[in-house]
Amino acid sequence: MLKIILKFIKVLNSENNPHQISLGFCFAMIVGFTPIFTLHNILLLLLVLILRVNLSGFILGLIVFSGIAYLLDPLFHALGLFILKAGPLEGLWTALYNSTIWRLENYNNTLNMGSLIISLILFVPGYFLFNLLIVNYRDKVKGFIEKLKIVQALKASKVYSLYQTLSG
Amino acid sequence: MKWIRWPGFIAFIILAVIIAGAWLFLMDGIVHNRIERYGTKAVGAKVELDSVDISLFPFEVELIGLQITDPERPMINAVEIGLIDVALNGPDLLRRKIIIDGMRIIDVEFGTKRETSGAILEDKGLKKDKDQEKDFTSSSTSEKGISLPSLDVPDINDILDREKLDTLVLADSLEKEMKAKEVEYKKRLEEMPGDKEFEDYEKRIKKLESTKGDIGGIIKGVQEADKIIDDVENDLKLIKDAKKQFERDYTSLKIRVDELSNAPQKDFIRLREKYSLSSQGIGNMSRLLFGPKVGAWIDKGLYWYKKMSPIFEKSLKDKKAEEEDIKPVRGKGVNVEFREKTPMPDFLIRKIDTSLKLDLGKLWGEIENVTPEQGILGLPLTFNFSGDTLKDAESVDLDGVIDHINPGASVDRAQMRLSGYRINNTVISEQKELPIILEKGSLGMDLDTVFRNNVFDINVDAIFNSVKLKITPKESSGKITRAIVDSLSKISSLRVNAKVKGTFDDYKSDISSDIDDVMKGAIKSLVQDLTASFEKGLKSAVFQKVNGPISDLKQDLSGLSEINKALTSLEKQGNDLINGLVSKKGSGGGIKLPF
Repeated sequence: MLKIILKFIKVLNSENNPHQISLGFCFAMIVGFTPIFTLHNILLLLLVLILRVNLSGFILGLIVFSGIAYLLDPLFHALGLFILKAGPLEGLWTALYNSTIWRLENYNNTLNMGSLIISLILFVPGYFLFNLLIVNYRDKVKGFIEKLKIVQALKASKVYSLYQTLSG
Repeated sequence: MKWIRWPGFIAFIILAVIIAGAWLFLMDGIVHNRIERYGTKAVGAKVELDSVDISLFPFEVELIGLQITDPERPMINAVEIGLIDVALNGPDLLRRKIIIDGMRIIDVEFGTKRETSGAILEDKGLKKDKDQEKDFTSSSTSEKGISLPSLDVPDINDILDREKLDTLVLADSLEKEMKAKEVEYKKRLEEMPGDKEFEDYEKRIKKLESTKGDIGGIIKGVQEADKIIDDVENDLKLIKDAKKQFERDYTSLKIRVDELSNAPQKDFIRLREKYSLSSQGIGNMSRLLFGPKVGAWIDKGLYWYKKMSPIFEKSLKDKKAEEEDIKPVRGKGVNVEFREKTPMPDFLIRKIDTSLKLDLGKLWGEIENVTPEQGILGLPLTFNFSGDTLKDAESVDLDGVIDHINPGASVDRAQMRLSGYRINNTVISEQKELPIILEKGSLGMDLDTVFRNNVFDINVDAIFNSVKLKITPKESSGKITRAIVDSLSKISSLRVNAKVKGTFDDYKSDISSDIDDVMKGAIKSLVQDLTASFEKGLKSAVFQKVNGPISDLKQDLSGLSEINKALTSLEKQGNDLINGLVSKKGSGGGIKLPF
């Protein structure tokens, strides 16, 4: 039973192409910036699991972007309030307000709206940026990092060997 | 397709099942914890729940054994509820609206005993609210602190010992003035020309008459006569001036002594008004006896109404505040509201079926349209409670409306009809002079209240039948108190009416009852006789006390008139002398010319 579970987890962690890692970070940005218990995050979680996205990158990115979100809360709120109060969009928002699914999504929350808009805007440029950073890291920095004694000590630890087993 | 990872789908399903299972397993505990935690914070004392049961299909929540501690009495529950059963509307919940079509609240009890203390550690915020509440609760009503007027006739000697009589003060002042004047005029009399001086003038005149001689001597004689006349006239002027002034002073003193004769009557009237038994005091007995209790009930009712009423306006203010530029809580944001096709409040309970366990028995009731957003719903909150198989009463009906649909024109009404409520050993009056206990009786009461934009109008009509009163006055009580006790003891029915109108901070009450007429009827003639006797005695005592000083004053005045006689005598002497001289000079008598 344990072997089946380990194999299952290995499969989920087998994606380590730079594009897959970048995609993981981008999805993590959306989930990390926006309030966690929202409808779109459930869909994103499904996407993250179904698509060949690097899960480790997603989890790491989620932690990082959640921390950044705490600092950017006032900006998200201000932007969300501006968008929701925009006169030309009032008709659209009113129509959505009378829809159960959109009320469940809580689109009329300023934090949700502002953070979602910013994370969607940053999604595409973020994807290319992360991709570039990962490629450059692997080409130029990785070799140097692996030679560091602290990294070697970490690699010799049990935690890393378990990670290796799970990530295949 | 290479981009699809099918095991991920299975992982998602497994995750969803785990979360759903955890939710189902843990939700009861979470709700239980939340209710206790947030309820305790809101109330300021422990809120405890025995158990919570949540079912999904249908979506129902059951709360069993809710206890809400009275913050001011930690060992007593303000409210204890046996069962709360709520059926929630699922789709509305998804739209973040709590719409409850039906709710049952069973076995509500007030003031039940707790097994453990419900006090919590206070924080500054809670303490401040408590202090504010205490301030409101303890704010004095116009009915507190009124004591009964004296029901016994006061002692006249005590009154005269205590009170200063104006008559005596005036008499004392007049006496001092008279004595001063007497001394002044006696001194002037001594300085004025008297018998000796007039004798000297006579001698000079006689000497002049005996002088014979030539013309030079005659001229000298005339000159001497003129000089004598001048001297006498000067002396006479002194005497006349003094007499004129004395007459003025004497007249003034006499007028004041005469006016003093009226002063004793004024003193008597003043003391009579102050100490005589007031019929108004007896006539207001209802207010004095029932006022403090009525005042306490009104204070309590107003306290709870003031505490509850902001709920109906709070939500609107909250919403406006949220949308304005007020700093939101981190991680929460602000929900912007838009127009709904079918506007509904965020929180609404359409109907509550409830039962209350009171001392007098069990009441069943219905409350409809409970929401803080009546303006959106368009319907007021209505309630009605009734009971007809009560332990201590025949029946009770309570119904009312809380209408805050238009906050600027809110109208809240409540009516209660109580019949055959059996009362035992209830304190009616805590006045030391006249403590009254209703040993037994049957109460029927009609209560009507209206609150209109913070101005209220309360009318209570209560009828007590088969009444037995127990009155235990002090042993040293006088005739009137005993007469009142006798008349009250014979009462078998009693009607009390109370009307209270005003605002929370400034209201007036008007209390009347049969007791006023009973007292007036029973003790009217006694009060009249005692009052007449008292007034007669008081008048006699006052006049007796002041007569002596007034008589002394009159005697002193008579003494002053002697001075007037002396001055008059001197004036006469002077006038006679002048007249004699002038006539002799004119007739040439005694002065012989040579040719």
